[in-house]
Amino acid sequence: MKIFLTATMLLLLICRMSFSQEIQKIRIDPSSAYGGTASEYFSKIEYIPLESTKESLFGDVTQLIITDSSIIIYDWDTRSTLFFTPGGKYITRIRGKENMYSNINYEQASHRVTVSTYNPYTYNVELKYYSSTGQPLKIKPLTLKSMEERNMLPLGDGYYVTTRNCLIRPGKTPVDSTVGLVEIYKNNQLHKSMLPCNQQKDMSFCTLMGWLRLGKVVQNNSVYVSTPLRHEVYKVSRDTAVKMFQFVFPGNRSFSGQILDSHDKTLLNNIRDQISNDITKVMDVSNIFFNKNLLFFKINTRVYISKAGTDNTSIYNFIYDTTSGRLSALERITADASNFFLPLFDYRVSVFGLEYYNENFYSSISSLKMFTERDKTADRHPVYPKNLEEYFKTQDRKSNPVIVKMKLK
Amino acid sequence: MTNNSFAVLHAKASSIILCIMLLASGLYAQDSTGIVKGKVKDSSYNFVLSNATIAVYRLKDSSLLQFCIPNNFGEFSLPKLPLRDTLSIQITHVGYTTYEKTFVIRPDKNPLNLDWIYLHQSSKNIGEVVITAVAPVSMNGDTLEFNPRAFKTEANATAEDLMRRLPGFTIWGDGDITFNGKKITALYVDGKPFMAGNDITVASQNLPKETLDKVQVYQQRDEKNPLDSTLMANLKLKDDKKTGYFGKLSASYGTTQRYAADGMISGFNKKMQISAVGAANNVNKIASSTDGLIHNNSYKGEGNNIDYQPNFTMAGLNRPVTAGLKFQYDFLPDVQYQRSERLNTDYFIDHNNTLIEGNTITKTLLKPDSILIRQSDNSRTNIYTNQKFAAKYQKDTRNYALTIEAQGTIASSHSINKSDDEQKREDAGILSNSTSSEENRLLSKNSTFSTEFTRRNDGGGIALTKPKRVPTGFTIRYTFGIADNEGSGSNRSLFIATPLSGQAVQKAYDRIYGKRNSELKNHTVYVQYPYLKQLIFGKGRLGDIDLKIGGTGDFRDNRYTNEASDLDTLNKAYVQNSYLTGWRRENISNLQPELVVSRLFFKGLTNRYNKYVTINLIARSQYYSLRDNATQVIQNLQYHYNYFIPQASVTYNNHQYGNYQATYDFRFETNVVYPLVNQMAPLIDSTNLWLLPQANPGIRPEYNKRYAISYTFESRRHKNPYSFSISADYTQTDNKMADSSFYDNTGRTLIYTVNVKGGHYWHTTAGYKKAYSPNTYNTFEFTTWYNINRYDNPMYINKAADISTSIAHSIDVQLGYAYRDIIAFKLQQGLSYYNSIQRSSNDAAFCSNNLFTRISGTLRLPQSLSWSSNITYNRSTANRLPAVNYTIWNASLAYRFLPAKQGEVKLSALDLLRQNKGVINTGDKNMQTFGYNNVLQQYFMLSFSYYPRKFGK
Repeated sequence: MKIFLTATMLLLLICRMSFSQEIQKIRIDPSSAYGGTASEYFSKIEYIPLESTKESLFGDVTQLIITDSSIIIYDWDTRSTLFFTPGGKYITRIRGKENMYSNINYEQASHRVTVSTYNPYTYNVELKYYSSTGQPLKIKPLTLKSMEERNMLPLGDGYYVTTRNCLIRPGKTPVDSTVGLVEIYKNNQLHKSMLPCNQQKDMSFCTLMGWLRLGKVVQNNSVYVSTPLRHEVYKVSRDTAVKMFQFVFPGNRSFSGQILDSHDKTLLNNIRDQISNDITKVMDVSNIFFNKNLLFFKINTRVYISKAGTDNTSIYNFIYDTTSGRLSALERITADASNFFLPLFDYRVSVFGLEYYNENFYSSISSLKMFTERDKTADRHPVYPKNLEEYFKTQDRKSNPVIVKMKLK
Repeated sequence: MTNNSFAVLHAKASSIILCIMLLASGLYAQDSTGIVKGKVKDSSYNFVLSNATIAVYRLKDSSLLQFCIPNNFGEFSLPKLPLRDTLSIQITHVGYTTYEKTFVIRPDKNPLNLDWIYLHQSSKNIGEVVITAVAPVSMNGDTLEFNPRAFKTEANATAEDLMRRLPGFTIWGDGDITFNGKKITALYVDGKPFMAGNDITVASQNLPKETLDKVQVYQQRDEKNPLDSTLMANLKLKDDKKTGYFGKLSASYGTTQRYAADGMISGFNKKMQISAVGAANNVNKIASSTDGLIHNNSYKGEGNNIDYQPNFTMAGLNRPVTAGLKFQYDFLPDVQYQRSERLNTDYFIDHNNTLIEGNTITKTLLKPDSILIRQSDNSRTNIYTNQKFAAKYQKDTRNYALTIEAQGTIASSHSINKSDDEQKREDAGILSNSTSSEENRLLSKNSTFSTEFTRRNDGGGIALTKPKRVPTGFTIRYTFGIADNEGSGSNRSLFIATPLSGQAVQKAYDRIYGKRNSELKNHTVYVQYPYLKQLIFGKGRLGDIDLKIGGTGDFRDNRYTNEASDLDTLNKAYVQNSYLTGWRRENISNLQPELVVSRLFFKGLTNRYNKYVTINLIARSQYYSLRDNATQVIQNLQYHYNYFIPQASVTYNNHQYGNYQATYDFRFETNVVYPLVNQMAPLIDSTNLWLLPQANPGIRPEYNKRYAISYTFESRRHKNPYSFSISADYTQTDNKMADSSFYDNTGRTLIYTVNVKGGHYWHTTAGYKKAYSPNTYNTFEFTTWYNINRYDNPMYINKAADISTSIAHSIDVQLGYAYRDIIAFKLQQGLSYYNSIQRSSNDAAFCSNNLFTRISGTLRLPQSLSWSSNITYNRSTANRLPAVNYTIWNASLAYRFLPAKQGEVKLSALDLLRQNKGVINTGDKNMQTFGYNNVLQQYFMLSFSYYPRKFGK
């Protein structure tokens, strides 16, 4: 009996060890992604026009953050951070200085908005803090030294995650130094460095990409990141980076193992030149998060197609049902009466993806596009809700963009 | 039945039949076209195919009737289809099996609704293209691609003929091509400029449609501003057509021994392009460059180019012979941003034999009651040969840009000028007369070598680490030029002063110029360091002002050698003229250091507008020195000057996307004109009978201040573009170098250069241009411009101060119409008016005006036959002289033959009314000249042309 039990335990252990060395591979073929109508995917779609006055007029939604009490937008054109109510009413605006560009982050736990502004003259980054409705907080602004520390994503409990790069610039020789692609900070001190990368050992990655894209959605103090080219997905929390699964794409959209393991500088430089205008190769995956059994992610290529379409090379944002294995592409969703035959996304969705908050997706549409599409679909006699009717009556093509809020079924 | 009742019945029946016919035609008109509609979807994955191509053909002859791309809902609707005709619909999409269906639209089921059409994926491999049907248009990423095979044209159509038929394309009369109203800024062939020129017609009018795989249109797009983008077009050649040659050989002969011959052959492959051209004629068709010859020898021929005609206004009889060779080699066949390496060479030879014969009357106003009138009869023969060679090597990388250029020219000319002049005073009589014969020969060789190197600051690309403390980008350019001129000549003249002049004298001159040589060398260096602010202030913003420092240094070493000798009538031998024989060496240095301060203000809102203001201030000093040493002591002189010559400009640009773009510009510029040795201390050549320059070594430089303002407006709407511009400038000159003239009793002028106050110049010009195209077949163009110049020239006449105010207006109005490439028509009206007022002479005035009205047109009917005609009515008037009117009428008929239309025979009739006159009608300050030159006159000519061409192996 004892021998039997020991053997069984050993067998289980061996099996477990064998199993733990293999990670799950999720095979994604964009050409097999499903589409459908808006009402098949979303239970509710709302359009929220943003108030357009002389004071609140801005150019473009460069960054979008949704909170319980506000819609926060960073606009590159006017260097402003704007705050609107969830219904689109203007609250306030923080104007940045000319030639200084900012990045905004929101920490849900403390309801704190951080505006990080890079000063190209001093090479410093200045951090200022505001409430979710744009009121300055009584926290002393912080000045940091390196430009690379701008993009700090709050994980909660005072911890932040950021990324480093190991890019080998054209004409440069790879150096034998190791950097952690992911770093955790607390109180502006390095807490942990993870996912080590060496330019000489990981020459292919450092030549063709060299950096990691940070996700936007933090769930349970963790965020998912994917290593470019090999697409291994890690769950990063303050102390660990655990490999969870790997995306596998069709051969013509991936790099071969020979290239990924190559140390041939000439070959890798040639490939880098060849793919400089490539629209098919998946360079990395970002915006990864889960909602129950649904996995959401976005693929990124070297160059994005700007014209909207449903082709294999025009789709970037996906939903993967981990239960059924069914893949859907958000760009393949067609407008219908539930969203008044108006567009769901603007060009930004190709490059930046959608925002996700409280089980809703958010995107923005320019007023130029709203009015153009309204004119094209007038013959379908859509019944607009009151706020959209008011918007079309009082605004024009030059007004502020409109926020689209979509609740998944 | 009586005649009357029959007539009534006939009338009634006719009316009834007419009504029935009208009613029937009305009904037929309503039902005469059909519509087919449907929706396209992927068969497996439940999404619409919004980038599919839907095309409908007539089954009988496979002619394309309609095509479209679906909307965002996958829906399509194709109208204007024939009823009761068997049609075929084909739906294609990359990665899918083609869908085909035959159908007939019946009147009782119109529109025909095909409902959902499901396309099946043929392969999971994105790279595999399974389109077998000829999809007329498709979206390939961001590029709209037209498939030439889907568009039927005549057998020998060129790329331009194809583009005329593509929806959205318009070929304008001035050679521009627009797509959906937006101008195509560049037309490439396989991604590269064709035949090394900016002329898009070289590609569009020579490449046959059959060599084209695709016509691609793409936007260099600012994604945030979809209304604003630069449009480019690319002619992608078929894989087996990437090599080829094309050309033209032509010979013409006509009455009065007129002839013309043209030849052009151009060849290309993936890396290399080469063109050789040549032309010879005696009908005033003169080209000034290899590009001009290539343009004028296109396969399409002159066709609707109603501006390419022999030049009937050119003075004299010309016999030009020109030839050129052009070569381009791309070391890197695929050109990319900051990654190219190219060599261009260009050789051009130009020979002309000109004979100009004319007679003129020049009136010079001395005082209100005193006008000098000079009557001249002259004959000038000039033979010149110019050869020019240029080579340019360019390399562009992430770290630097390098250009090396070399140019050389060899020019030789031989001219003989004979004239008889008579000078008289209006209120008196003949004061003097002269006869002269002047011959000149010149051989000049010059070459220039220049190199420019720009080092990029950040090593190219995006800096991910802190920029260097000391930015190292800079630009340096060095040019070296050397010119060697060898001249010689002779002058034989006789001057007779009549007793009326008080000096009854007769002088004969027989002078030989054994040498009139010069050797000129110059070195020019230009440097600029654009990061001065960062160097001095490091991280300081300095209010976002940019500082650049740099300058130019120009150094010249010029040497002149002259030898002259006069005939000793006693000894019959030529004796050296020691006054005119000698050497002169001139050294000039011109240093201009500068500091550039600039600031850019920018404001923009995505897809709405962008506005910017740029302010530029250049603080520039000029250190100019001249040192002259010569055989004649009077020409040993030197001077040094130092001036501050600043510049300033403010430009405001307001671009409202999809609506208009307006630019306001204000400029202030200064410059200094330095006196030449020949103004300060000229040597008087006595064979120059009428004009005797005098020395004034105390002349100072003149300092010019120019103020300019301009406004331009261009519409940016899809249809019917228009543009408007207006500009004005004013120049004030301090210490203006002006003439102080003494007219002696014989009518000769002694002239000094002096400094005066009060030099002013005003100038205004305005223009408007509009095109109107109600559909793709018809185009109307309207252009007008107006120009006015006013000079206030202070001077002295016989010690009395005078101001000569000259005003010149010119206006031009053009109206053009084109119907496809079949009809082109233009109406043009031009007027120029000149008025010169002498203030000190009670505002006595000279005025003259020239007017012309032109009507021209071309008709291609049938396809192989081109009819062309243009008529120009000219009228020239000058005060106190009768008006001169004449009309020039030219016509031609051309016929294309041979299977590929490679042969052409043409009959031309030029100056049918035989009225052409070479009128000279000009004014300058207190002088007015009116007269006639010999010009080209009536001839008839027969031309034969052959266009050799082959594309692919």
